Amino acid sequence: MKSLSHKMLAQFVACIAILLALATPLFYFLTKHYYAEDMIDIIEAVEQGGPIPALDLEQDIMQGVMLQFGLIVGVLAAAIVLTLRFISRRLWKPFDVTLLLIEDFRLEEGNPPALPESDVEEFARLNRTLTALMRNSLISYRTQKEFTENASHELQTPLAIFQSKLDLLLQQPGLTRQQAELIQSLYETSNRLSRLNRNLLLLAKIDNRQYGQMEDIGLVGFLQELVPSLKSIAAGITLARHYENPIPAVHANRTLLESLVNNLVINAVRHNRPNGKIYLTVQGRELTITNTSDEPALDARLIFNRFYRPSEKTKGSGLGLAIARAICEYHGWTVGYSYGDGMHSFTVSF
Amino acid sequence: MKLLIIEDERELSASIVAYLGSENYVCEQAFTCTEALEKIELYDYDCVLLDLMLPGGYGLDILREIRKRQNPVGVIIVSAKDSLDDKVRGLEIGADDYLAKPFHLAELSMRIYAIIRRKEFAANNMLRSNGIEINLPAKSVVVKGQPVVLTRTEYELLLFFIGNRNRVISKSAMAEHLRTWRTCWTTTTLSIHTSRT
Repeated sequence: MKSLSHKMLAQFVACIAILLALATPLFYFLTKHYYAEDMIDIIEAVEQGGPIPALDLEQDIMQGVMLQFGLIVGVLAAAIVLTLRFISRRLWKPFDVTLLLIEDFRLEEGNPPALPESDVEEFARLNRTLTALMRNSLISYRTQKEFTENASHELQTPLAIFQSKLDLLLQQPGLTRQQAELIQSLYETSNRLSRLNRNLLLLAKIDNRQYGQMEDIGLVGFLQELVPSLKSIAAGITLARHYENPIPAVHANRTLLESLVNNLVINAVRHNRPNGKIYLTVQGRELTITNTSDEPALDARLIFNRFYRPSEKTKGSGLGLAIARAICEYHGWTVGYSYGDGMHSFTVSF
Repeated sequence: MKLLIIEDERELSASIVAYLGSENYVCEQAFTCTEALEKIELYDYDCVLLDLMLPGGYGLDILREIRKRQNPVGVIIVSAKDSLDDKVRGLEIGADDYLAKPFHLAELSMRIYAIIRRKEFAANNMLRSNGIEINLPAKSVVVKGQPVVLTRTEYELLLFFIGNRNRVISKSAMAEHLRTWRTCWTTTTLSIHTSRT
């Protein structure tokens, strides 16, 4: 294995050698024409005792030297141009290949590209380092993802114990009103904890791509089936529907699609005003859920982040929209937010 | 009524025993796989609560063992795993119900009651309690000879209360029960129920 500079130098020298070899006839011709012929003329004249011919030696020699000098410079220039243009391109090719491969590498997809073998020391080292780097990043990425899932999982059991002890506490005879209220608020806290935990687990599972089963789902039929449960969520808020040449089917995981619609509707209910409205619209490839609200426009770049809360009075776990976005990304859809005339809209483009 | 609680988490197991023990249930506990298999071999139970992750083995293997012996005992899986796949697998092997942790003891009590009721009164679909008569297939309720019209939610709550007689039930347990009951009938879970029949 050789270093890059070593290889470059060797190929450069070889290139000059070949060019010089090719230029040899020219040198021969120049030398003969400018010096040798003059010399032969003079020697012949002296041998025959004749007068020395009238030759401008100085001019001929100067011309010859200059031409030779020009030729050498030409050969060198050609060698440099060739080396830079073609040889270096050939030498750096493995580097380009490596670059192309790592440009396509995505940590989430989880399979590092196989980088090609190279006989250049620097490139071989680069590929080795990159492979190790990608492998390590993948390992820590997976560990981190698994951690969220395992942690949420492990939390379920202590939460179950906690809740069961509350249930028992509530059975104690002679509870005062104050004690009952305390227990009730503990119940609410434990509910919030378990909801938060369930949502984190759901997010982790989507991230870990554990929802493999995909099918073609008729969108309108699917939404119609959900309507009774959505109406029960929307208590007191009108849910209006409108379908305009909707796409016949979406390719999706049923559980996740249900969770997506539920999350968006729950969000529309939470931030609604009393006796407000929710519009569920399907238009072509787009599903839009619009709600009335007294709250001002939200920051479209932030609302899909985990635990982002625009106001302090939010009741949810802070994960609903993050889950909606994760589900959309999982299926290759996009979800966006817009605001106009006191109406907040969330649009999913299938 | 005899129950076997297979749960390695001793605190949780103790809570379940304390809650159910006040009814006329006799609860026995098993903390490991081998212990559970021994007890199932030796005694007859009306209902088994089964945790899936146990020291020394998987709960589903115990379930397979129970069903292999043609043991008709009612089995409720109680697990921290609540993905659809886990539920479907458990129900396919022959569990009667699946409850994800964390759960309310009132919810558990009601589900045990429902299973025992189904097993005990397979021929009789009338449920009688304190002068209330419920015709389960017709979902009609008669109180002291007077028919009463109830909404679905009220009917569900009535069954929930009967399943938890003489106990104090928290608001959140009721809300949770109604929530799971409602989502029971959305598309996803419906497909599980239909796939079993």
